[in-house]
Amino acid sequence: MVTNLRERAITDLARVRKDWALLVKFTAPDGTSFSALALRPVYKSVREDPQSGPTVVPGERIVTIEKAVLPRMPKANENWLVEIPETPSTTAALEPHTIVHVEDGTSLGYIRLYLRQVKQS
Amino acid sequence: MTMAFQTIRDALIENVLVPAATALGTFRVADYQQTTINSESVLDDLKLIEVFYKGGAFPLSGSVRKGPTKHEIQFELAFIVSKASSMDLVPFVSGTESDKAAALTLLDPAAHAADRAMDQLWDDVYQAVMDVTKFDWGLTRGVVINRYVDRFSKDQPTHSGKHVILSASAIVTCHTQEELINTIPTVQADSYTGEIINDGDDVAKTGVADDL
Repeated sequence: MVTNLRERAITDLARVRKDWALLVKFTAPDGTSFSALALRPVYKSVREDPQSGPTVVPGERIVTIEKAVLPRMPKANENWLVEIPETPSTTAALEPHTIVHVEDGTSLGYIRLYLRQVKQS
Repeated sequence: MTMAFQTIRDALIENVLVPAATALGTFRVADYQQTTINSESVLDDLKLIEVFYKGGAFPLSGSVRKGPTKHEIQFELAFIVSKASSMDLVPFVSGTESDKAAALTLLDPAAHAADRAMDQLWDDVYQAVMDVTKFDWGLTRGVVINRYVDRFSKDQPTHSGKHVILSASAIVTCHTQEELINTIPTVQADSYTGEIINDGDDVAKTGVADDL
């Protein structure tokens, strides 16, 4: 039985980690790699209306992760490789992305990483 | 189809752009304006050009009643490309940390790739439209007059999504003569059966006094 909000938050976080977290692999600009549990990546579509031509709907990939699990925060103009499951499944193959920008939340110690797909050159 | 612009539109698509797309294999041609498309459907060599009749002007001339009339035609070409970022991913499978770091420094951002892809697409399309060996776009000489690329303009690339999408548009102009399908009918005038008023007739008949 949950007795206060703090306890409730801890319980909820444990459940979220257990039920919704997926393993994401990071490679920092210096080449060091590490894996961390991130909240389930968001696989959604956005609408973009260019000045000419039709409306385009690109897929968007967003990873939410605790700052504490990152050895250091990604900085602007740094190239990181972030490999996330290509579908929201623990058995899916990892698909490489780079970080487009970081949304830094302050209240819960989480950040959101907006990703762009990377292909073999 | 009775107006020449539709024949010219089809010639631009079927005789000029589709053969170029088939030969190069790097873009596709749609003959209408689509409403919504997925970024995956225009990724890399799936680049898309939409071709459609944008509008026309019909300058007033002496032949406007019976035709033919001059039609100054504008076709719009809408370009859409979509790109992911790219780099050598092999070091991330089997390389050392320094190999990975080196690969990361050589990342080609998606926005850069999309910009270059659009430039090459425009290069290919311009050469096809202005090809001197297809001056008449495959039609009888004189149907397409003064075909010309009036302008080309890129839009801002999109900022969200796993791909960068870049669109652009070009205006291609020409003019032609539009024939009218109907001709002015020849009508036999009826003979006049009314009363004819002559100079000097009685004022009671004409309603006008002769000495005014």
